[in-house]
Parts: sequence; structure tokens; C-alpha cells
Amino acid sequence: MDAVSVMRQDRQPAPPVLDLLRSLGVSDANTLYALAARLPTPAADGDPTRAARVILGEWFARLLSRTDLDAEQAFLLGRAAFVAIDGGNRYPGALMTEEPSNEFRVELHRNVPLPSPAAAPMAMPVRPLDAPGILAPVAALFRSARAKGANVA
Amino acid sequence: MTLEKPPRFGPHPVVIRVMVFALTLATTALAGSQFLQIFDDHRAELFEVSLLLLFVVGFCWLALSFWSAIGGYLSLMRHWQWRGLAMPAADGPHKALEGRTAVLMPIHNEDPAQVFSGLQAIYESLQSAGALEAFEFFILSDSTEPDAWIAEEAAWRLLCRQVQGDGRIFYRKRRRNTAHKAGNIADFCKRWGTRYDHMVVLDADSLMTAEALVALVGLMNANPRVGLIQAPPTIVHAETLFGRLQQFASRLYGPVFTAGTALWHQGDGNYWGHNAIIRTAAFAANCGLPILPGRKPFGGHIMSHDFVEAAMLRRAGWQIWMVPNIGGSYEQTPPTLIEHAKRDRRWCQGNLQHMRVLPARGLHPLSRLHIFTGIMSYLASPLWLAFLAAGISFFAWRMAHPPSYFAPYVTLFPTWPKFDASVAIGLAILVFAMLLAPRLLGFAYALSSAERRAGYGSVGRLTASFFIELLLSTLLAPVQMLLQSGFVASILAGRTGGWGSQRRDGEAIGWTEGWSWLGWQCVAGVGLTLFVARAASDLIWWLAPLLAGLTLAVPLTVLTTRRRLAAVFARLGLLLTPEETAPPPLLVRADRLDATWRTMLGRPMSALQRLTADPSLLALHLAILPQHSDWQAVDADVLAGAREKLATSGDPALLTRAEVMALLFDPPFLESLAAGHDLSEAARIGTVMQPVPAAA
Repeated sequence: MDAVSVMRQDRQPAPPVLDLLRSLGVSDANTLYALAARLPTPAADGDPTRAARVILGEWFARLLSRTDLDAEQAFLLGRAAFVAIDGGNRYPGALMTEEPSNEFRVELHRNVPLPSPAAAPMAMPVRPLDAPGILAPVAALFRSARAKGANVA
Repeated sequence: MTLEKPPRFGPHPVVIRVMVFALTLATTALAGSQFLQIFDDHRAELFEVSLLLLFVVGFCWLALSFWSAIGGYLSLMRHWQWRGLAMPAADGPHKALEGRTAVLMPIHNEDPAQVFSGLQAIYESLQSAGALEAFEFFILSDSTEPDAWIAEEAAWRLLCRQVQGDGRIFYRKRRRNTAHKAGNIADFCKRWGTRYDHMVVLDADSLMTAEALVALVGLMNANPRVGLIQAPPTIVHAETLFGRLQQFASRLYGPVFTAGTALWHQGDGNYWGHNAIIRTAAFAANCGLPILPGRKPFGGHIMSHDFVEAAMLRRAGWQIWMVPNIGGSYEQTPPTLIEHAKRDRRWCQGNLQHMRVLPARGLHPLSRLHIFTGIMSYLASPLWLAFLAAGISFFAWRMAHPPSYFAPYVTLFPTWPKFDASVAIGLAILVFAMLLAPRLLGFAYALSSAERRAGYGSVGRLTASFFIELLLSTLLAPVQMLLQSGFVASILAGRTGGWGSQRRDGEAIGWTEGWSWLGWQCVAGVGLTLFVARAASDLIWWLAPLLAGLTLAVPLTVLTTRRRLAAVFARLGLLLTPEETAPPPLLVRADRLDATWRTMLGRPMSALQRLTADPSLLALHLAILPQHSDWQAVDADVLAGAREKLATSGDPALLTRAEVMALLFDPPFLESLAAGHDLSEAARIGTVMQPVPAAA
């Protein structure tokens, strides 16, 4: 058995877990409890909200074919798309199901925010603008005080 | 890129530069020697020397603009092409568009409707031209106002939906706007630089057509040694009389000015900070700006980064070109004299800070000249003021002290203090003529083609507009001179100004506000008029433009902000520009979109109000938060204070701007808001809803 075990039907979901599900736009109490029941429960010393975010994140990543994302990123982006399509009211049963409808998939895909492309870093070293020794006194005329720190990028 | 006639090469750049500088120095020497002929009064040598020095410095500057404008006029009329800048092959845009270009829109507390309508217009223009594949867009936010930030996020999402721009239009916010726009662009380079061959840097009010963007990329691809190409922007969309004066003047005189500078700058040109394309790798490798040692205003981050970045690129061997005839490049101007002055205060500080950069090692001589020109564009005002003050004082002193022809000792030879009024009048006429010449050349260039004449309404309207602009700008010049002199004095005294965002709307200035800003100039104008009338009455007519400008400073400022007055001028066909008589499709589209965006974005709302009212926006905000730069740099004390205040009162109006910002960067608080808790509860219980830390 892994770190989490399946939540028993008779166990009350933790309030933070319900809050997490509410943040997906699910407001109906029955649906909330049904969804909570689908979530695995963490080990006794585990954090139920964290476990739920990971499970939901992994589910969104699979659904959106974004295995490049970690679970938290996938959860945040997936939730944004889910709320944008009013999924809590329109597709509440689709959450965490293995075969959601194609319509739901397409709509979710279309609404995933892409705020930035993949990182493509480039070095940008600081280049000096020092005056040559002979002109340093001229530059110093306009220096009101000594530098507090060295040049930083 | 459209050229009016087949290009022909102008004189060699070295020849042009030698001519411009030689003529400048020769004219200055001639004028200086004439100036020496005016006075010969042994009692007032200090006045004479001071006046001579101030005159020579000011005249040299004037002569350089004059000869540059002459060169610009010749260049325009003879359709000179530049040597050393290859034109892209005319085999369609697709070949020219090799590589990927990022269109960067750095913003700071801007009006989102204006920013996003402009971006949409540019996006659609590229789409229609079939060139969109080569471009990606970045909204790089440095906004420090929470309301502006959240409105930008909402607008970004709307824009992506409107144009199906997901994956092509990106949004990034910096938590700290370190080094302002330069830092903003640097952050982009550091995060995504290798993805893009070029970047086109815009301003919040910039507009560029697809043709201009494609031409710029084509030029970069055809000229691998070019690091930056500046497309001079045309001022558009002015709605106040002040704005329309600026718009008309820049449109009428701008072509001569830019053609002149482009002619002798050639590949050693300058960068104006926006509406330019930059080779990303060259920029990143050479334009990392240091923090200047010492305190502000001369130390610290370099505020006016553009000239310095151009100088650093040039130092590394990259060419910098200005291409005046590229067309399709637009910007806006501050709507009022006060807003113009606020921008001037920032630019003044930025340019005076360049005194520290001027002697930097290894800069190209022309780069130093560009930097010096920037400094002089502000120092010219106090120099002019000093010249006027010395001249008026000298006259007043002469009137108060009639010459004594015989010394107190016994001598057979009287001394004749000399003042040659005819030489003085001749020189004054020369100065006025040289000041007027660039305007006259711009006017003549506009008159020289039927198409251009029609662009300004007609010959009659163009002529009337020319004289109206001349009159009003003459009256406004002394007002700006005094303002700039004040800025220079305060900066040299070590006072630093802010680098706030510019108010680009056309809101009118009331009489009280006008008086509070410029009432002192009216008082100075009246006082000076009385003094000159009494103590140096010979000068009163010569000084009439100055005295009238100062005395009328408040009415001029207030009335030139009135939209209704501007509309009257427009109805009469006065101060028209070609972009108004035949608006380019991009401007028409941007105008329409602006109205649509204002409706879509609705009334302004506070950030927290907007987020609580719109769960979808809140979820989006949470989703993109970890992708913003430095988002985790939490000020724990501010955040704790904000939580406590909100938990106790539940009233977001009690929070400071920094506190709201802290909450907007706080995932636990936002998570509990997203769960449906109200602000007060969210502030209390948010701490227990910790999200999973993002993977490293």
C-alpha cells in the first residue's frame, strides 16, 4: 500500500479539502461530498489538501497531455481552465474520471492559460561603464556619495 | 517598406559628417566673432565674457540642428539612400521573416483598454499580412498599482480569447520593478532571450503596422551586423490643443529632423527606447546596465536607458540605424503641458545622469555625441535663461550707468564705450532665422508634393496651421525653458524625482490647477515686463515673445488642454496631419477597438473587488502567479499587517497599496478566497491552506 489509501465513504472530508473542491467552482453539497469521496486519503500524518492537489494536478496533467508540468502547476492551470468553462456547474461529474467526455476535454484544453513560453534563458552580464583613469575625476564630479554596493545584475 | 522613388546613395558618411561639423564650427566662429564686435566697454568685461561664452555654446547647438536640418531636407528631396544598410530582397515577406521575433509591450500602471486595443490592432495587422507565425507578443507588466495589475490579467485573458492568441500572446508581471523599463526588458532576455532572434520594443501607446514590423525584421535579416533599427514614430491620436500642436509640429518638421540625423549618424545612430527592433543576442551580451555608484539622481539604476544601450551596442561593434522612411510607426504625446513637464522632469533626470556615462571607456565618438545631445537638450534651457538674464542685466546696468568719456586722471584721449546695435540686430536676425529654418524646411517639404499638401488639408490650411503652431510654440517656449531650468537646478541640487507612469488621457486642467503649477511664471512675466520697461526699455520688443509667453503661462496651459477648442481647430481643418486626413487602417482599427475594450473591461474596480466578483479571474490569477518574476519575494511584515487589518475590519479600503499587493501575491489568502470565503475569513484562515511548493 502506498502513502495514501482510498478514503472511506463514512469518513468526513477535511474542511480544507472541501474548500479546495469549492475553489474549482463546485458549490452543490452532494457533489462536493461525492468528489471528496473520490479523493484518496493520505496516511494518518499526511496533509489531505496537499494530497488532493497532487491527485487533481496529476489528473489535469494527464487530461491536458501536459506531463511536462509538475502536479501543482498542472492543478493551477487545470483549475483555471475548469473554472473558466464553469466546470463546477456544467461538468461536475467529469472531475477525476478516467474517460471524461470529448466535449469537456476540448473545452478544457481551449481554456488552459499559457502565460509564458518554456524558459529559454540567456545570460545578460553587466557591462562596465567606468571612465578611463584620466577622466575618472570628471565622472566623480557627479557622484554624490560612495556606492553602497557593487554592481549587480 | 515603401520608398517613394528608386533610392540613390547620398554622399559618403564621412564627407557628410565632416561637412556638418565643419559648417557648424565655421558658422559658430563667424557668429562668435560678430558677437565680439557688439561690445567694447572696459567697465563691463565680466558681462561681455559671460555673454560671449553663453552665446557661443548656445549658437553652436543651434548651428548643428540647422545644418542637420539642411542635410535632412536635401536627403528627402533627393531621395538619398544610406550606404551600408542592405535592403531586404523583394522576394516576399516569408523569406525576409526567417527567425522568431518577440513584440514586447512593457507597461507600468497603464490604461488597459489603450494597451490591449493597440496590441490587438497590431496582432490583427500581422494576421492579415500573413506574417503572424514569425511573431510572439509579451505584455511585460511592471505595474505597482494592484487595480492596474488585475485589470491587465483580465484584459490579457480577454485578448487571448478575442484573437485566439493562446500560446502567442504572453503576460508576465514583475513583483519588483527594479531598474524600471531597462530591468523589465532585461528580465525578459534572461528568461526567454534564446527563443527569439529579435525583439521589437514598444511603449504602452505604441502602434506599428505589419508592414513596418515585417520590414524591420527583413532589414535585420539582410544586415547581420546591425544590432538595432529605430523606426521613428509619428505622433497620433492627440485630442487636446496642446497635443495637436505637438502632433502637427512633429509631423511637419519631424521628417526633416529625422532624415537629417539619419544622414550623418548612418550606422552609428541612436535608440529612442521604443518602436525599434533589437537583435536579442547582441543586446543581452552587451547591454547589461551597471548600477552607477553613488546616490540618486546621478547614481543608482540608469533611468534613461535607451541612449546608453545604443552606446553599449555600438561599443561592441554592432551598427545602430534609424530608418526614417519605414512608416507605420506611431506613438502618442502627453495631452497637456503639465503632463509634458512631468515627463520632461523624468527625462531631464535620466539625461543629466548620463553625465556619469559620458566619459565611459570605449564608447564611439558619435555615441558620446548622442549622450551629450541628450544632456544639452536640458542644459540648453538654463543656458538660454542665463544668457537672457545676463543680457537684460547688462542693458539695465548700461542704462543706469551712462558712459563717462574721460577717466578721473588727466588724459587727452576719451574712452568710447562701444555698443554696435546694427551688429546686434544682425546677429539676432541670424539666430531667429536659424531657429526658424528647420521649420521652414519642413513646411517647404510638405508643400513640395500634392499628396503631402492634401495630407495637411490644403495649402491654405497648412500655411495657417504653420503660423498658428509657430505663434503658440513661441509663446510656450519660455514657459518650458523656465520649467526645464527648474528641473535642472533641482536635479543638480541632488533632488530626485519619481519615475511614475504617464497620464495619457486628455483630461483638461482647471484654472486652479494651472495657477498652482504655473502662477509663479505669470508673476515672473509681469514683474520682468515692468523691470524691462523701466530699466532696459530698448529691449522690450525683442523680448516681447518671452514676456508674453511667461505672462500668459496659465491661460496658455489651461486653454490648450480644452478638447472643445481642439475640436474647433479640427473642424476648421487646422493643425491637421496626414494621419487624420487619410487615417491608416491600423489607426482606424485601434480607435474602434479602444471603444470596444472600454465596454468589455467595464467600470474600473479595485483589485480585490474584481477578484472576488469573478472566480474565473481569481483562478487565472492563482494559476499564473508562480510564473511571475520574483513572485515569492514576500515582505512578511506587510503581509501580516494586511491580514490582521482585513481579518479585523473586513474592509479592503483600509489597506495600503503595498498591503493589497502583498495579499495579491499570497497564495494561501487567495486560495481561501477561491474557496468562497469572504475577505475577512480569507485573511484569517488563509494561512492553513498552503499550496504545494512548486518543484524547483
